[in-house]
Amino acid sequence: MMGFLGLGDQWASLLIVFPLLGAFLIPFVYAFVKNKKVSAWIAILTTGAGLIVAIDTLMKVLGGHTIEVIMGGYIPPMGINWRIDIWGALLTTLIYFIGFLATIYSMGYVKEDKWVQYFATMQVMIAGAVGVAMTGDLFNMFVFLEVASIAAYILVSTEAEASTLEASFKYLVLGSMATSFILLGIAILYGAYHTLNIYDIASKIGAHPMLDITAIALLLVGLGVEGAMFPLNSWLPDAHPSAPSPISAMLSGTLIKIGLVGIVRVLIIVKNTPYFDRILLILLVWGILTSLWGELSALRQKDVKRMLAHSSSAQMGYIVAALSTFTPIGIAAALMHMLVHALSKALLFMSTGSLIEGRHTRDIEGLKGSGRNLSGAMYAVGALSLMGLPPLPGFFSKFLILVSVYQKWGLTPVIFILLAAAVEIFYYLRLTAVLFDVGEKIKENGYILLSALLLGITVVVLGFMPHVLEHIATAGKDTLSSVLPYASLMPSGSFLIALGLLLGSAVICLIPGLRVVGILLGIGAGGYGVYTMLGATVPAVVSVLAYLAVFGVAFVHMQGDGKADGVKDALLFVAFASLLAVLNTSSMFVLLYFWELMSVMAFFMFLTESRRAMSGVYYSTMMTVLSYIFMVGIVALYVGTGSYAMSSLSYVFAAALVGVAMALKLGMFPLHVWAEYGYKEAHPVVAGYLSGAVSKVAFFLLFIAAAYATLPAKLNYILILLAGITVVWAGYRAIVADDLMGILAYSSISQMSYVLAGVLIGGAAMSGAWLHALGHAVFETGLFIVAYVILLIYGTTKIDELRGKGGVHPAIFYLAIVLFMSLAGVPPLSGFVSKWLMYQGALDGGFGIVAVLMMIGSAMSMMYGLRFIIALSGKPQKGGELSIVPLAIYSLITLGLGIYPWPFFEKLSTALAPFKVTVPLTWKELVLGTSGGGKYTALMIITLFVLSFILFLIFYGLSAPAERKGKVFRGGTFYEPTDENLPALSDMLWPMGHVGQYISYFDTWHQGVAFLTQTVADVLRGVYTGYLPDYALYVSITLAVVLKLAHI
Amino acid sequence: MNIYITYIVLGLLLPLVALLYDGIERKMTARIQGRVGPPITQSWLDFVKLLTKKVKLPEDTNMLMLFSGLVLMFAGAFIPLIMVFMRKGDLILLMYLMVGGTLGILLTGLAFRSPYSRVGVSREMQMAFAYEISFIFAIVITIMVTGCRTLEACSASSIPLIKWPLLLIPFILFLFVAPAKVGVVPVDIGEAESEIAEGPFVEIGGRYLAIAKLSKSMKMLALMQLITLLYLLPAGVTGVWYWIASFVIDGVLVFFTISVVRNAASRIKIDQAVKFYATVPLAIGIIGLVIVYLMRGWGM
Amino acid sequence: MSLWSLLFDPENSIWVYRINAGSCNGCEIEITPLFTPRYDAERFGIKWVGTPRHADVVLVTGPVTAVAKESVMEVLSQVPDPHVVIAVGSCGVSGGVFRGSYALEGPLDNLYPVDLYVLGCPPKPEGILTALLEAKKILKAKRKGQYQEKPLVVDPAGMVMGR
Repeated sequence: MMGFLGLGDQWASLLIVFPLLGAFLIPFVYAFVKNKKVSAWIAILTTGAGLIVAIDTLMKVLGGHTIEVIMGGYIPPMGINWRIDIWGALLTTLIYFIGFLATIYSMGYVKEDKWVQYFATMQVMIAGAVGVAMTGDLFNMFVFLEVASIAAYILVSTEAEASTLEASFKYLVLGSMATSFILLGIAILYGAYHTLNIYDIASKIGAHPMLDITAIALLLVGLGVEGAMFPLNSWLPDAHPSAPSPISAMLSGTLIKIGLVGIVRVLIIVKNTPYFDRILLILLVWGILTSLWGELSALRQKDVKRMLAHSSSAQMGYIVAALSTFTPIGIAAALMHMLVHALSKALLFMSTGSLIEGRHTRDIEGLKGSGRNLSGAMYAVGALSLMGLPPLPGFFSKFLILVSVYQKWGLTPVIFILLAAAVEIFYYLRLTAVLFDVGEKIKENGYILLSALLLGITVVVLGFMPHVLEHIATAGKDTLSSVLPYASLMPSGSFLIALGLLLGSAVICLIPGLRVVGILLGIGAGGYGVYTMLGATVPAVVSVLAYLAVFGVAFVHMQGDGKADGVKDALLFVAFASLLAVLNTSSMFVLLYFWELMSVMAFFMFLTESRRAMSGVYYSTMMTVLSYIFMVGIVALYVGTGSYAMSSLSYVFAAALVGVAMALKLGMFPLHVWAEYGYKEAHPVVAGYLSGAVSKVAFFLLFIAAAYATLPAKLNYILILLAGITVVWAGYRAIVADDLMGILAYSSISQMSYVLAGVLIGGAAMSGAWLHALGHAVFETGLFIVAYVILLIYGTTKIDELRGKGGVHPAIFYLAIVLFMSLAGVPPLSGFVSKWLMYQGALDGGFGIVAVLMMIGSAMSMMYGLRFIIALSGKPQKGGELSIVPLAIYSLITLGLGIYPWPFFEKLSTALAPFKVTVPLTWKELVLGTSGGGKYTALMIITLFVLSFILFLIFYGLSAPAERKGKVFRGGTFYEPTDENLPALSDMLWPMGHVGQYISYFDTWHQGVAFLTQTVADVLRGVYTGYLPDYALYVSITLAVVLKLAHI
Repeated sequence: MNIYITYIVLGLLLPLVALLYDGIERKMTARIQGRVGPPITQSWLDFVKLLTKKVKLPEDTNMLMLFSGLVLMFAGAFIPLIMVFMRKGDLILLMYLMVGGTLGILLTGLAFRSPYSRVGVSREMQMAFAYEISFIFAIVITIMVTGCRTLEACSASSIPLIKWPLLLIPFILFLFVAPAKVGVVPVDIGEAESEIAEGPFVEIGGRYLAIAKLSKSMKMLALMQLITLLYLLPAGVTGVWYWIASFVIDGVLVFFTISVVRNAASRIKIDQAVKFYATVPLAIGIIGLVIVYLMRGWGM
Repeated sequence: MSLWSLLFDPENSIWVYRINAGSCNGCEIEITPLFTPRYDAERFGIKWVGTPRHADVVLVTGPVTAVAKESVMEVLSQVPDPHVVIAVGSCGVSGGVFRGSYALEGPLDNLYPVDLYVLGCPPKPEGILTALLEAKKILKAKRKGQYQEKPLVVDPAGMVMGR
């Protein structure tokens, strides 16, 4: 509309005209036409028209054109002008978009008798907010801010109860304080420089430093109140929940942002002053403080809207932290996060509003189970986006924030930001678990659902269109492609076909009745996916390992056991697709993206069974903390080397972070405590997938970190020692576990620690580690499959409940024994070969203590494996026969590789050659001796085995045959030794349990950390006393502090 | 070809020698107690007698498990015996094969649904774990001190004189392990005749028992010969003298580690045994490792 | 002893298991010294075992009381062939001082074929030892498939009666 009617840029002034017109028309028309619905339609009309103009404005700004609107023909700096840069255009579009949807939403939410005043006030609020965003004149900004705020005060108390009126009043008082400060600041600036135009002041500032700083401090504090900075946001936890949900969406989504835009204008003013850096530092600390305090306060909330309100203020902290860098990436990050947060938070408020409407309570426990519908799905979209998880846009914005903060301010602020983010993950996931629990259905209103759905679709689509995000965030310049190489996220070629097939089979699994077809298709597609990767090297080997595990668990899951089987299978295949994508790339950014996607899938797998949901929350929170270390490593990689290529992992700091993160993910002491939630409490199929496939990917990442960068020797030694301790520690926990899944969980950690130690030791131990990884994928997953069969037949995996029962099909039993022997390391199975190689490597490298620890761990593995077998040795029962196929395949693999491991080692040496890692094992070398002198003389062993077998048969044949009749010898007692009353089994490990009870006690330290966090959170949120004079005091104190800091 | 003939000859002869040593041990025990004792060929006679008995097994025995347990037990004693006398094979492989033998005992015990055998399995398992710690420390310290990984290297090792005292520690540890592994009072808790009616072997008889007893004797001889080879045989002894010296030293060792110990104490309880083996030998082993590390640090 | 008996004669290895079928323990007190240095049964190849399934010879002491009858019969059925059952003490022969009591199920030979009796209340260890040595011969006959019909009786001091 550039030259329409010759008005040029002036069209943008329609952005104010429309809502003001609406505000006027609504009551005016109502005076004549007594139909309340007309008010709604007028509101929709004006907002819609404004939306169109806003989008057009945004397009123009993105095209590089800063729009300037001059009011009344008076030229600035005398007259008022609007200077619409990217901040203004974006915020305006957001205000209109969310306002439009909120208007539709209100038609289903607010009672009809209030519509006239409600919609009119809402139009005024929109007008005020838009004005603040767009203006280039300070006093104009103040006026519009007041307009918006007053409208907000009124709207908060739409439902006139005591609590909402009190909240509105608090908001009013504090808001008035804020605007008074702003006015004072403007007055000082005007008195100093005789101009009110922002850009004019920016050019003139500096002449009166003391006045400047005072004015800036006043402005910052005043704008901070609106922008939800701590502790000025004390009105927020009361006002946002009290307002009706569409207004909450508008407040949290947009009104807070105008405070932010105001702060941006302030920064523009002081950009060229000498104290600019000091102001930026104040903003950084302030932002981080806000985010930490906000997240911790949100943690303990029982009212869902209060929780979301605190989360809003915390997110504003992140944006301000990003803004405080004031680099191009930082500003882009702030813009992107503003966009993402506005949309996501509005979506959250809208969807939870729907749930609240359905259950008539805001209490989180009261909302239990209400989320199994479209509103809940929309909630999940919003929550995932805010948590920064793929495939939603929040991932990109959060990552950018981290990169920008790290680049400018270093590691420490990043750590604080991630700590706050970890807390956020916990409470959002907890809310998700509660909502997706089992509960009675709610009714959903059509208008509400429509608006929430539109917003949700927008968020999802934006997640898949990162180029749009980039375009907006960089104001059209598109400079982010090196920081956010989203183009490489798209897979190509035959791999794309494989991924497509996997996703297709996932969808088919969801169709009831076609589940088996879907599973078979998925297994085939997975195999095809692995096949397409066979050109690559190390990732190809890892993909084979992961596929072995996934094949087994998917196959056996064809015999389903519950209601959500199809969902589990679908999630499994999507997760496997993501896993293959992780392996199929050489860019660490892509790897991070799909790694996080895998974690999201894992969490949802836990949600498919409501009694496992909280374990999923704990597990995912702990895993996210570890992923954050990984993320910091990748951020450090980019900042340190400027690229995401895997080969640049030679930058030791980044590689060390990645290595440590993956070591912890593999369960290294002392952070192995997540095993209890991740493997023990999970469904056996899920645990089998996690232990069999995901751990291999973690191992792969650890390997490349260790291969590309030579970790410092001390760190290396510490990691190896910790791995050795983990082997024994986890082995002990497995021995005294009370659940079959517990045994397998700790066994998994123990065995993967062998692999971890082997990789870090190098030499012969490296080849042993790879063989052990293969063996682990095979025998551990096999045992998980057996545990699944037990669950299928008996419905429980607790050893106490299985005592006396627990028998399975004989074939399954014997195959389980073979797998157990491989786990324990009995020659000549592959478990022995891999362990033997690792001992050789350890002894070669002089790691005597580690060799001892590994051998003790091996003895322990025999013990807990035997516990598992004993639990299986009841009367044979039918059930789970499908598992015989994967178990037989696994047994053959482990037996074959034990006797003849050389083909594997040859493939391995070609794969590892690019990493300059030599696999010291050809046929000759093994038989004639490794460099350290050890020899695995398989031929001799086999010969002697055969000989002993022959001798055995000779003795057998020489002797008289046996007959079987009668019962077992029971001395002189009368009790029938049935399975139930064999007392031996209850005391089976009595001395061992007593010897190491401190070990089990030590492992509860994470509960102590959780308790500490909760206590700290309770203390912190005590700040919000509810007493208004306290809040006013906070504002004053903040002003004093900011003044003091600014004057230093 | 030669090697296979040696295997076969040794394979037929050594079990008989092992039984002979078992008889010798019984004679020594009897003499210590002031009795006359059985003839030294008594174990052979026991073996033959067992082969002539018709076995009765309970009807719900898990035959495959029994069979595999016995095979594993036998192989776990037989293969180390041959390896040790032929001086071929890897040390760690040897250790694992003997652990496999213990696993065989456990599987045998699991084949029956008898409370006695289950208790025996549980106690045997814990004992195995307890003494394996000492075994592991002994082997690792030996490997680290002598630098040898295989039996050939260890038997002809030329360790400097200064290191001989270092080998005292693993030798002591082996002395701790020997009675427990062989299964003599006071630490034969897994196979206690009076407390739990012989534990895992309560239900087997006849030829199965013959194989079990044979395996036990072979295990004893293999362990004695291992100790001899690693610590007691002077280097450079070959040919006929090697065999003579081995058998003589084996006999002496059997006397000291088995007979004397057996007559010195009565059977102890499982928690006492586990607590002992998890503390005293562990401490000795850690001290040994520390000393080895220190000596390495001093460049020796 | 000939080379045959030293090396290959299964008769020279006798494993003994004891069942207490309601005995007053007097016979047990006499059986126990058999394996002490004074009487030293082990020089004849006699060994004590803890489970019936390893046993060649079963020593049953006491009259078979009603309470013990079921266990005794079950344990006796668990002894593998060929085996010899010896009834130790007067109780096993005729019921001893408890003969005619309501609590008895009869001396052992009412319930199970006995191969040897040892008289005495309690019999001396020499008697029991003689019985064991006689059992060797019976075992040999049983192994060859020739079983004897008339059980032997051994007097308390160790003389075989009727020979």
